[in-house]
Amino acid sequence: MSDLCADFEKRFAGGPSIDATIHIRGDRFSVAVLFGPSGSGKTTVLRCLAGLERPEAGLIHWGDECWFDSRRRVNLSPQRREIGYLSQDFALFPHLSVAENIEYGLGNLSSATRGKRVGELLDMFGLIGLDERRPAQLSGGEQQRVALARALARTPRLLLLDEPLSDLDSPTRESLRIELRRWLAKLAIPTLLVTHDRVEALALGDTALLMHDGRMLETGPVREVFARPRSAEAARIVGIETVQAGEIVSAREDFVEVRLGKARLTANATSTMEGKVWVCIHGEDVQLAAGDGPNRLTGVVRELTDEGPLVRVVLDCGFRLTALVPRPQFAALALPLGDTVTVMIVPADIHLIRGTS
Amino acid sequence: MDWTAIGLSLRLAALTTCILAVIGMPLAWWLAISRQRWKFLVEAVVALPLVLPPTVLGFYLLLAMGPHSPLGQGWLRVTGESLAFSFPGLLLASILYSLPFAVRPFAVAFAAIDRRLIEASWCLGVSRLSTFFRVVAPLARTGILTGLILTFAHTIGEFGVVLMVGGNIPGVTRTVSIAIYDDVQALEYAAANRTALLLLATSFAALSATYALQRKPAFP
Repeated sequence: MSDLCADFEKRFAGGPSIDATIHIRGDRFSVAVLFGPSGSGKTTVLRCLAGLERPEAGLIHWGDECWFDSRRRVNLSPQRREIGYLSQDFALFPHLSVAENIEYGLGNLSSATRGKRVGELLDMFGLIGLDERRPAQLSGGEQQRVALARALARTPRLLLLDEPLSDLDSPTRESLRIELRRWLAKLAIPTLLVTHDRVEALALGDTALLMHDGRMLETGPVREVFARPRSAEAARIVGIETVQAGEIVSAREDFVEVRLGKARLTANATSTMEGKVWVCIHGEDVQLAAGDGPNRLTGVVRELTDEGPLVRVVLDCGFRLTALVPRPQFAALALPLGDTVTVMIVPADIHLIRGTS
Repeated sequence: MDWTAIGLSLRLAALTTCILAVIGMPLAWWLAISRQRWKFLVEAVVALPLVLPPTVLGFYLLLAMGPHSPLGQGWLRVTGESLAFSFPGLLLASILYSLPFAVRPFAVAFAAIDRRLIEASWCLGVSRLSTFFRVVAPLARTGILTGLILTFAHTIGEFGVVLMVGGNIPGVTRTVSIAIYDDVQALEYAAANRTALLLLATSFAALSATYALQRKPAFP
């Protein structure tokens, strides 16, 4: 059994310290997403795993193999960790052609095997015909594919990807996002991917590790972590639009009633809860001008922000509630600022987190 | 024209350049990537010959090579010859005197290389030494060539240190710049002019080559 087990601390002089606890199964394909806002220490964690940065304390193990142990003073070089590492800017060798870049790490193979392997990768990543080009003559998306092909040429044991799509323009990013997941699944190499993009995390990840201010907040299946985080801090980081402090006023069978500002909401009770809670509502779960049902509220439109396919509507319902409304629906409603609108939230869509007093 | 002196100068410059290529590159690499706190001291020592009068450097080198110093004594014991006023002594002085002309262009070129390229190479399983030859050296080739040309040209033209350490022994330590000085002292201006013109032309060619190299972007 070869799993990646890491538990280490990295300190920067005069800066923040980073505490990471990571476990990734090495025996089957899965993409773990290290998610957090910029500056939360995600890249540093990845660099420590790659052997490019030396933690101050802790352990990194790959199965029985020790990569780093501060007590035994072990720090395996990046060369000997047999991982694939992709930095944010791809770092292609500018003086080498596409084929030479991909071939770069295959020095231990015979020339015939190398050529065959490069051919396979060119084919797989749709780079045929570009093999003679220099990186500067490639588009961002092509560079990304070359970098990935180069990292995968040696069939690494673990793939570390640092914001693999963030340097690309938006249309390229969207098409590559779908392909990236397909490539990773096809190659079946366990992957740890760093991102601060929620869509990227949900589209690519199986599990999520939430990181904030150098600490790991939460780990779990990606959809679970993003839909039902276990702390208010995590809820804000995964981008839940409404996270408000409330108080449970009554509980009956499967439902609880929560007081939130001047409003009252009914939520599904998933576990016994009482007293102070955090109320989390995803913007897309707020239904505007809907029919009858529980949790019907009246709100005044305070802010409108156009976000392309969605319109962000901030309402005053006795508490601040944010709704994300699809553009056609918003056009049909024709809401001006200051107008009053009814909203509805299905009780099952309200996520409660036990609060601290 | 004093062909013996010209030959000697060329031999000295070629050897100095070769030796500085070998010891200058690791030193420059260390200067470019090291995060040691006392690195600035090494940088200052390397740059010292740029500001020091050649007579000062020559004087201390002469003392160091003399029969009373450990270096001079050691050399005498091993080779049976004196280090001062010999070609090996002159070579040693040249290497030290031309150190900044090789190391600084190397270090500047190395420092300009994106560290992520080097790290990418390491993560692809390629050793540090191999990474140097396959990534660093090709990307720094302009700086490396500049350093080598400058070293060569500077060694051809050095005077003060040579005079102090080497003296003026024809075929052993009498280089072109000394030959010119001798010609002028003997009022043989025509001979001095011929050699001086040759030196002027070589220096100009070397500097033109250096600047031409720097003008061209390495990878468009």
